[in-house]
Amino acid sequence: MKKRGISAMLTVALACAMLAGCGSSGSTASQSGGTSTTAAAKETEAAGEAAAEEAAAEETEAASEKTVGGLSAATVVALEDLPVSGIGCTVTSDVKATGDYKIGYIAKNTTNPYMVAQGEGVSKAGEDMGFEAIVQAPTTADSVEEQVKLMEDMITQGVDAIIVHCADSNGIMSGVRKAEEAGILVVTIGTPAASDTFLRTGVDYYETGYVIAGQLAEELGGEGKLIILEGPAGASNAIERLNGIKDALVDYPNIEVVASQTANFKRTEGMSVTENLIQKYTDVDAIIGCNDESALGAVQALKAAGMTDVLVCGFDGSVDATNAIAKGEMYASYNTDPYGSGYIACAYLVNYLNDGTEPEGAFIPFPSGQNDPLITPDTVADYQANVAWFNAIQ
Amino acid sequence: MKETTFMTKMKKIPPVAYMLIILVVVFSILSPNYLTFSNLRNILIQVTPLMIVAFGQTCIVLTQGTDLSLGAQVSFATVFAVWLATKGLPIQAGILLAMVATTVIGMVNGIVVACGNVPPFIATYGMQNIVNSISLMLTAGASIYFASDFYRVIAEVNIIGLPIMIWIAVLTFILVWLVLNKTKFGICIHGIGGNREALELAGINVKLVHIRTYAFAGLVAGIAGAVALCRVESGQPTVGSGWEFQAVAATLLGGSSLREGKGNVTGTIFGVLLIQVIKNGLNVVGVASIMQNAIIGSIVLAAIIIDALVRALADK
Repeated sequence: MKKRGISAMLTVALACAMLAGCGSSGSTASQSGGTSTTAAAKETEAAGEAAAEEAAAEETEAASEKTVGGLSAATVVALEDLPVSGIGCTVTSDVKATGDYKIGYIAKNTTNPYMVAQGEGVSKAGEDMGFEAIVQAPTTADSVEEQVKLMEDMITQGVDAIIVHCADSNGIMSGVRKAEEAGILVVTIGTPAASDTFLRTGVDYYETGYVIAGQLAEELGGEGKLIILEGPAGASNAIERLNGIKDALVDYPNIEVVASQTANFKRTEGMSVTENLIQKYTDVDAIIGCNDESALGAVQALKAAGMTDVLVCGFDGSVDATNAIAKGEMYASYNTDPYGSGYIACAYLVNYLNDGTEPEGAFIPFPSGQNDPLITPDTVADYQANVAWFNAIQ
Repeated sequence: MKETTFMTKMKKIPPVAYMLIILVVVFSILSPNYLTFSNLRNILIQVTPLMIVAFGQTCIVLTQGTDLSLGAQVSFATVFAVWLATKGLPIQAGILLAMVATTVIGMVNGIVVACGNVPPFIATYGMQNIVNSISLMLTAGASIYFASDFYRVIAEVNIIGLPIMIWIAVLTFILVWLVLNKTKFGICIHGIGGNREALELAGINVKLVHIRTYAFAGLVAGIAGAVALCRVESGQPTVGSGWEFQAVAATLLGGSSLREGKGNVTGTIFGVLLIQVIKNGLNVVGVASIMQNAIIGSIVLAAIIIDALVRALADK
């Protein structure tokens, strides 16, 4: 019974340790200045929206400092002011490292071609600009917990900067804080961290939706019936993209969205959802898949049903999607250029490490609308031959 | 037995401990940043959640079973605690309730294994899928947030140079060690793996021991979930996926046996440390991610083979 008493005491001690925070959480709350992470996350969406509206309304050249809910809105930088020129495989830069820098990149996984290309972009930047690039990814795909470990290990390696494609905005924060405490610059691509870092780049998801929907609406002559295949419920990039699509369609009142359902960014689901929807909407004119995979699913379903005149759009400019565009089975895609995003992130970092040149804002989208990211039947041949980011990994 | 000489003490140290020392030496030669206090502290922080899961898995392995739902239970605990917090409960209460929930999940595992006579592998594999699915349902497939400074208290506030989460692992270790070595329940756990018939003849309710063991492992997984939650500051429905296998590997590396009810939770510490030391070392030295799993697998296999050889020699 004595032994049991000891274990009982230990259990209590454990519980106390877990609850130790009750006493001290007050003090840490005041230290952190009341920056609530969820509030920031919630308003990311709003920030993206406001940002792209701004971008669409006025192609401002100068940086506009604007902060919404802790995360900065997008700053549109004129093409000639970017530290790189070109997009995809054509991306180049005059930036050269004047010191001995080490820059780490952490992908979301090792299997997605998008992630592989991003790592390649960072490695190529290392060769071109003259710094040591360290490219890593979690061995368990999309594990934010492992990404935090990788960040800690890079801090140990003594890197000057870390570029990360976050698997989760909030989950990455403990790593971001540790890096910043150690004086290491953090750049996010795509999914941002829950609070501002040195820089965020990659596409502005809202803008991608806005541009694709606008292009499609023009092609349709401003009228027609549209189906949208949404991304996973709750995923912030999918929501931002969908908002962009919807806002672009406001200017085209004769385009009717007859159905908007999730296909979870997957080809199989894009196919089955489209199969079901075209039973009911036999006269649909266009389908937007919120990524290339779901759009390709729609293409397969339409092909099987013999509907050849439906315009299908996707996002990412992947191998299969551009092949489909070249064959006339798909209408358009948006080059989200992971290769170039990794490259430009390095250019900004090296500039800063060289002489303290700050980026024009905390979120500089790349590629943005002004980088000609659209892949249509007119441009697809050039894209496949010269520009495509996937050429960098083949 | 009372006269434990130096040699017998040396024999008690699992071979994996020597392997650990060799690896640390190799990595510190390869990278000057390796053998620093901050990196060693890093390793301890990184290893904590898996370490706690492995303590629970050790108890299960001693009964000749494996609990494949422990990783899913960890993920579920992070999700459930945050989910309760978003419904208005304080996060601390959410964490405690999540521990209760994982204990119940463990109990169900135990009941299925003991009363249904289902092999633990299958029973807990089924539970893994169920629990994973519940986590995804609670979060609608994504991750789930609740802002709190409590996470940082556990993960970043130091006591004697180490964050509270490491001390939680230390306390959990002491708890599991005491249960296994100093209680009748612990002796029964060893007994199930060692000689089940003898235990039954002695009038022990073996089914009840099974149920309690799985429930205990569930509780420990809940503690691991609380620590994992404080580290990733969000409910992640996949954070613990694969940890159950790493925990089994660590337990076996630590010298516990799937056949005889032999082994102890002390060895498990070395097993988990070995896995994390390899991972951290490969990162710090800068080995490409796609090669890491192969290297880890090879070293783990080598360690287990060496361990088996050493024991075969010792038995002769």
